[in-house]
Amino acid sequence: MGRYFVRRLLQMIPVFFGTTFLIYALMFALPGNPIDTLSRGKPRNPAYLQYIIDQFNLNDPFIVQYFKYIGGIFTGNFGKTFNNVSVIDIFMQRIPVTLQLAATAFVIELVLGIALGIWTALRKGGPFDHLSLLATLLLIATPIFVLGYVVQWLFGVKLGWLPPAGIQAGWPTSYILPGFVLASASFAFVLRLTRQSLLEVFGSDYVRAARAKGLPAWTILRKYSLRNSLIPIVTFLGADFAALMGGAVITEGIFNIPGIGQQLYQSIRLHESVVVVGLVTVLIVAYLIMNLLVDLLYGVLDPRIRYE
Amino acid sequence: MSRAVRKTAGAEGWTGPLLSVEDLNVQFKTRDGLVRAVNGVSFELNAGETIAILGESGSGKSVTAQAVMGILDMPPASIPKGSIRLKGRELVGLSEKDYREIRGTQIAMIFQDALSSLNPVISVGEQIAEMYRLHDGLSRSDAKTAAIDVMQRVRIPAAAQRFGDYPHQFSGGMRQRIMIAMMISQRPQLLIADEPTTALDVTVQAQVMELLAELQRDSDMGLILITHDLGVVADVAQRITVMYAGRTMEQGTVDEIYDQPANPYTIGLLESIPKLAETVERLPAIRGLPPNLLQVPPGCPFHPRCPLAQDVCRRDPRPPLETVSEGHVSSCWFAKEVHARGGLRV
Repeated sequence: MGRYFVRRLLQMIPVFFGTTFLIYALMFALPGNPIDTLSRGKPRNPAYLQYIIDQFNLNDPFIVQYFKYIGGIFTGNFGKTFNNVSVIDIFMQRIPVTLQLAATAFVIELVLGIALGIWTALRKGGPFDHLSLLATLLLIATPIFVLGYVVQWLFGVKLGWLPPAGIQAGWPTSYILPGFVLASASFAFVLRLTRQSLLEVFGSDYVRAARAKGLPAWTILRKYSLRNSLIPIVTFLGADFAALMGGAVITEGIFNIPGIGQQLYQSIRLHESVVVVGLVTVLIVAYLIMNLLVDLLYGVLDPRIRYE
Repeated sequence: MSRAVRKTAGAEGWTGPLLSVEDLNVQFKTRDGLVRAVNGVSFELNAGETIAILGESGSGKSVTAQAVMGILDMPPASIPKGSIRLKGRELVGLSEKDYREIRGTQIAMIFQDALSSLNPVISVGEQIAEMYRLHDGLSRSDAKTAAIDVMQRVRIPAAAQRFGDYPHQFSGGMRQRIMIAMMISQRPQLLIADEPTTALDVTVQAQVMELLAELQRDSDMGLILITHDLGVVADVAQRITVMYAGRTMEQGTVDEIYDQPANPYTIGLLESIPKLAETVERLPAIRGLPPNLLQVPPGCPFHPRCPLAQDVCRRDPRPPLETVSEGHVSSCWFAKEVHARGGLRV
């Protein structure tokens, strides 16, 4: 177990170099260049442009730029934007916002998705089951920008229950509407996944044996049915949390949430390689850690899974 | 409620049979139609007695057992007719809450495949201990002690050390012992064993059957053995019910049925047991397959496979249960003739 953990951590090193290199290369390959983007076609002070070129090593060959950047990271220097803002400061500002949004969406998926999944499985074939099938299909099929604007208009503007945009009201008030919108498709998926895996387990021999033991229905549901149907749900939720961490360009855009998604969008347009590569690297590390946690959780959930 | 009080409640002074099943009918609603899985099956069981219900797959023997346990999913299953009485108390139509208090405590059931019938993600010790906690209200540590105790009773080596192990860490025979420990933990008066040895090696089969017989001797428990294996039955059961297509084909004592079977179906089953003393090219088997329960043939359900079938067998009504000797009945138009021939080979 300990060795498995260490090996998994070591595997992150090549992944780190691979992804940073790839993202850096992609940024370099984007059409246009930072100077043109900054100038926006207007003449600029050549001294200023020269300063930018020197500051960001823009005249160096790509590979040299990359190694200068990596070298900087290992000395704790993540670089600066063209506006002379430290990338670290941007992280500190953006990541908490995205974390709050991701956590809100995640809790909605987890709690509502699993609870309603259990309910529909228990009432299979009933009116609520049919209604939920329809509703989840609708949620999965609706593009997020449609749902986002509808929810924003209805609850934020028309009814005025919650702030329609921004994060001035703080957590949780400002994050409920965008959280719901961001969670919608995954929530529907978790609901159906829970229902499906529960129904499979309901027909199993050990659930029948548990009934023969005279156990109360609640005990059977909790200890026998749910425990055995958690693996697919945990797998999905783990991957989804990591994805949520990456921010949500569209949802953040609609609700004007200054999170990672918006920053990434902006920085890609401005060719700010240092910001994009830095953010993506942090996200990839978060993703790897989530994957590792999910894998470790398997061992807890199912004793038949052992790590050598 | 203390254990002693509950175990005897409602049973004081009862002198009749432990279990009596009368004219039991079970049917399932399926998309393709109504499946009549059990049709008018009756049998009785006394305390300390072992009876066997014998039949091929689809004969309705497991459904009968599950009906007695009250673990059929209703719907799609239903019991349109019949009665199941435990010490005189009617179980058909009992509320789920009342039934739950009987299951696991007064009647218990062992299943064919112990690996799939044990919860794979919970330790075997916990699966046994929860019986003591939920039914007897024992504390966690007392329940653990009691569970280790019952594990030792079914002779699981190093029971205390293996308490925390999971089902997949045990051999097939040990898993079945764990299942047995779990189900006898409440000292049930009735134990139903549904093909308890089918999934096991022959040597292990004998050990498990021996264990069941021993536990039964110690506790005066009634045992219903459900099997398709006549070899298993001979040593342990006193009486046999042979089922086919959800109907009783023959019923009688083990000796009667082995020595003087009165039904061609039973003879077919007996002939398909391999015998050590004989060398045969090919083991005789009953030709054909059991009928699809959606389309049971008219008349005697066995007639398409029966070597004795005549016109009368193909017409309704099906043959009634005819008494061929004291306590020995057979559903066959030729029951008396078959019985009189006194033995194998039709």
